[in-house]
Amino acid sequence: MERYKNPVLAVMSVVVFWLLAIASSPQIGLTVDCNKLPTPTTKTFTVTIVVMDLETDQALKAANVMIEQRNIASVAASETDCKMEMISKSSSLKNTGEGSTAVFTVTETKKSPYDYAQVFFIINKPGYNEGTWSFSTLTTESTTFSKTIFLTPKEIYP
Amino acid sequence: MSKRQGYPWLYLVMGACAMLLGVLLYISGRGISSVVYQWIPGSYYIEKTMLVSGMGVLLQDNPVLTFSMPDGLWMFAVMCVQLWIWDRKFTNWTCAWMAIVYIVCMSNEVLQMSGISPGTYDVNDVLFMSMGGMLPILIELTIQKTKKWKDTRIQY
Repeated sequence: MERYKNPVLAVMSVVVFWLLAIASSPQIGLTVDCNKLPTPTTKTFTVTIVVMDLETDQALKAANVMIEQRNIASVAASETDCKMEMISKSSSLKNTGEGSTAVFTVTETKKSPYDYAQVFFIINKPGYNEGTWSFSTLTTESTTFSKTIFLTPKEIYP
Repeated sequence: MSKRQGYPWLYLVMGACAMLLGVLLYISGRGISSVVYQWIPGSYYIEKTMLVSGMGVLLQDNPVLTFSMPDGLWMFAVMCVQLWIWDRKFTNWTCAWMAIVYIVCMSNEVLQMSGISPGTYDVNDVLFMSMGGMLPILIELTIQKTKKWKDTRIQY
């Protein structure tokens, strides 16, 4: 019996360590978390940014509009399938061109009702102070909306 | 029944310490996405303490510490336990058993690569596991060689 004691112990130790490794695997953990979450929902926002001069109330051509987003998720994001890539946008930089408007489409995919994104817009035009505006995908009711941003000329409020 | 040699329990303690360090790395590096985090009550406080102590920055700058080091520590603990089981003796029989255990544990990464075992295959994991598994053996061999050398000197 004594002869088999150590081999049995060695096999048992390997089994225990192996089980520990599998049970603590991040994939197992994330599978558990992901299963608790409801089916992902997708929402697409269409945002039209109109840029105008505050002083003259005229539409401003060729202003640059930059879009950024910050995901605010209730569960931890990780490198695996459970990761919440909540939002995608059509382009991160647009020029208002001759029409003084820039249209962005923002698509949000979320698994938890508490996850949302804050979307920021930064508007630049030479000779004008920078303009900013943001909206939250959680509190915004409509998915299509237009926002007029008034830029102030630098010579008035430098 | 043969009497156990001098310090076999030391390897159990070393193995336990390695596992504990691995757990701390899991908690502070992987956060709530880790199962270990959910297993251990008070993980939140452990995580925050580790982050405040500057561990968070260290782990962020060196992702290998979060993703590969625990594997190496796990392998270190496995081989420490083997040294304890085989009473630090290096015979053909014990070496064969330790080699089998080493290969079986290393095969976990191969199984991950083929998708049979959960986890992500990584070359760094293999590197850390190889080193972690060899380290206790090298430590013990060094201790035994040093002891032998000292005994020889005393005889002369």
